[in-house]
Amino acid sequence: MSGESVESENAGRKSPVQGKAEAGETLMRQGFRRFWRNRPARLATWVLGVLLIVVFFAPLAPNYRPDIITDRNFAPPSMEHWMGTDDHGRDLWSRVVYGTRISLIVGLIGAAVSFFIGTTWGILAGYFGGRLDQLMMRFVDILYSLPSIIFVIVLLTTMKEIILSSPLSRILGDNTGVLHFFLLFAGLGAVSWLTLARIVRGQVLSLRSQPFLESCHSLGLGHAYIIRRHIFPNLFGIIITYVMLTIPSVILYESFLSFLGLGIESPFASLGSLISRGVPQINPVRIYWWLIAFPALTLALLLISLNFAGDGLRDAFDPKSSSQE
Amino acid sequence: MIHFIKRLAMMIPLMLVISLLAFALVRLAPGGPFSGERSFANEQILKELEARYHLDKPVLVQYGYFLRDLLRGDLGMSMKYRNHTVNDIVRQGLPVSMALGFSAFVFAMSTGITLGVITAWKKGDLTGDLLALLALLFICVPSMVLGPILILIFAVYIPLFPTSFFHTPWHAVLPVLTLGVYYSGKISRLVSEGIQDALASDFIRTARAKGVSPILLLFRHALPMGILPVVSYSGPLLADLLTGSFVVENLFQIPGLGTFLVNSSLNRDHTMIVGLVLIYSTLIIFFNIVVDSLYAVLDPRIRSSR
Repeated sequence: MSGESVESENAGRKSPVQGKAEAGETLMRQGFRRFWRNRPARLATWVLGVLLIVVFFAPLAPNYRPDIITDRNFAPPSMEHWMGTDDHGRDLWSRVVYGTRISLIVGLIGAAVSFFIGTTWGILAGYFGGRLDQLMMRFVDILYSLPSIIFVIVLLTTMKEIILSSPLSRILGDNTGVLHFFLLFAGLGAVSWLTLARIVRGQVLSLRSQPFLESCHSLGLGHAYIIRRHIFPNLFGIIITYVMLTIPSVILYESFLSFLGLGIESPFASLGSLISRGVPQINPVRIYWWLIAFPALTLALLLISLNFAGDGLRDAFDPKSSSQE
Repeated sequence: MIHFIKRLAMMIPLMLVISLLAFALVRLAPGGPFSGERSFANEQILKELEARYHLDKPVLVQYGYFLRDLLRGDLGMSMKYRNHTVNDIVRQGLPVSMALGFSAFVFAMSTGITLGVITAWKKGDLTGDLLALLALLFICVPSMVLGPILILIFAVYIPLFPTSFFHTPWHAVLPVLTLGVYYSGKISRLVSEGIQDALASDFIRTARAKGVSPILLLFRHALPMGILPVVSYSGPLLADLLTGSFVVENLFQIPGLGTFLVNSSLNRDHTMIVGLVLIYSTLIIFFNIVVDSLYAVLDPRIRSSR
């Protein structure tokens, strides 16, 4: 992850795209073929696919009742309640499906935010270079050395109050939960773009010295056009890879925050908040293991498959990765 | 050395910027630290409380007071833990958090490097594949999942270890494991990747051609290169361990600083937030500088380019 190794050179890249979108596609297709040959990554993709289908179609099933409070609390797993019930008698299976959904959404949006900031930052710094590059990268260095979780915590709590006291709160009405939700996306995205920015910048630096870019300049193409048509397509593989790896890390971050009581607030629930509600139910007197086991296993499965898939993408697309022949 | 001192000196303006940022962010939030409390019977009491913490003055003046106190090493009074100074709380909590963090650091480094070396050595073998999988599992099981599982197994079903507090080494086993396992996996992956890269490079081929034994090849030639990424990672690692301990402190009821930080940002304990942010960032930036300098000492390529 050190900056200097990234910017060395793109020795591994076999065929730099000659500026055409079609050529870019073959490079992409090569990458995806490499990815698909990777057995763990393929397995992870299947698991993710199944997980996604379950999570998005389960709400159609009649036993999906995440918010129905019954008097059968702490019921162990049975045919009726596949994963048991929680302290309010809610069906845990539905809660876990719901939580997985929220966790996935948080991960995706957080990764999207970090994609926008990281890519823009990295391309601008790498492409224009010089003073601007120095300034932008020092800024990244400083943020890198800050304790990011503290940053998020302070940002979340203060931004929330600032917005709540501004005229915006009248539009929101009572939906402060929604507000918290969006601040969470913004905060998590805002701390996880640093690695991407460094990597993108390194790649742009090495692209900049290539002949095809020089010919673009001599043809008199504008900066915006060159970035859009020639720089960005060449970065695409590596960007997908790191955005993919950002998803699990954002999910993990969110579950940390939820665990500390700073993340998703009820009525929303994420895997992290489910786990944190399960922890107090483990005590020497009575152990309601299902309250922690099922959310924890789901979270672990989600993170494992996302990481496997991300690793597979990195092996397939990152020119620096050693396992690419 | 001169470079190191220069970097240390650079910390001062950086810390000023960070403190100003933290200060501004906290004060910008509307509602003072006391506005959420039960309504004061007497308006006068609120006024006096605010005057005590200089809250009645403009933000810049408040920052001036803060800097003046900071120069004397005083982070001010906590606004919520009445009659406790931030210094008191830091003095109590920081050693605990640091002890937890450093133990986990030692654990993660030792197990991670060992695991990484074996993984790289046995690559292609079943052992190597299994170890690589193990390292990946370590990364995928977050501490708030691992912690309860460890408590269930080693404290409830097999009552081996105590589950809370942190006063004997015996108490430290589960928290340190919970905190360190993730980083152990991460380090192991870094090491094995680094060694594999090193083993593929030209100087290793030369050494092999000269007839250096495989063991010597691994430890004398490949390991020093393979370990460099770990050195550069250890700065962020220490930072992560210090702040990542929040969850573990929460799980095992360890009286570290984490709880204070979370609580203070929830109940607008301004002096506490700013003080703790400052303490944490100072530590983290300091570790980063030390690690960077160490890196320069260890890697001759960087040393000569300076």
